[in-house]
Amino acid sequence: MGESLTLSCGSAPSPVDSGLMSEAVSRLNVSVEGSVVAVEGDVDAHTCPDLIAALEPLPGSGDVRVDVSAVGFMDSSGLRALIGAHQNAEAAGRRLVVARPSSAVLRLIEISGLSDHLHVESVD
Amino acid sequence: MGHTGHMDRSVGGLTGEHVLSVPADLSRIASLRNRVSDVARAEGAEDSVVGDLTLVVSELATNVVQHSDASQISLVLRHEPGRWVLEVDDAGDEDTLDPDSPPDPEALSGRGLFIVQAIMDEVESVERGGSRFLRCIKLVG
Repeated sequence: MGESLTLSCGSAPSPVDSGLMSEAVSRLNVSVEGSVVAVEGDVDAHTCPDLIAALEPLPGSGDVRVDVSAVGFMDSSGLRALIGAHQNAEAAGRRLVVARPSSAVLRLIEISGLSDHLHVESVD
Repeated sequence: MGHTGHMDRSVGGLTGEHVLSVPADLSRIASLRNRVSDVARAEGAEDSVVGDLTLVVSELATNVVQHSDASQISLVLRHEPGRWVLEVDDAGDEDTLDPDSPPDPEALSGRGLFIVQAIMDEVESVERGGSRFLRCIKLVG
């Protein structure tokens, strides 16, 4: 049975924000089961450390599948996390696969010219 | 002026101009993104434009936090006929501003700048009243 690990990143609003219900802090949930890293939420400079931490050990064996179907937003911070893990995987003779990419992730990868560099699973 | 993170103080006589400001903290950038997407949607922007503006704002805001000593991230979002204009205050040290000096080489380095320039149709550094800001324009429709 694979190891299961859940990382959560997000801070509660500070007291001064209590009246501003529309304010939202970046929230990211990363869970690992076997060699599948499931990412849910927003990946930005604030939240990406949790993604980096989950990818760093290259969990499981064989392809590391990063399921980003539930990623509503990602910017270049998240891209750097993926690229770093991609390079680590290659060095270890494995692959990092960006699985079930959401439209936000696809757009980011395409606009960054990385569609042919990262292993991006096509959306069915 | 207190840092209460108050948002969306419309200023001036320009129609549809939104001034957004949050403390310069990485954890606050999400609220800035959400506000930008709210504004863009309210003004009828297509999903793809909303996504693009949000991404650019995230990159620019991150840059302010990581590469300047500004205590606030301030931006102006303006919907003009046929285009969106985004201006982000660089908030550098005004006293040492030298109009002849090159821009901070670390500013918007790497992928962040590439993404902004790939998405926006025009990106220029503008000096106004002793401070610098970045003006980005996306043509729509």
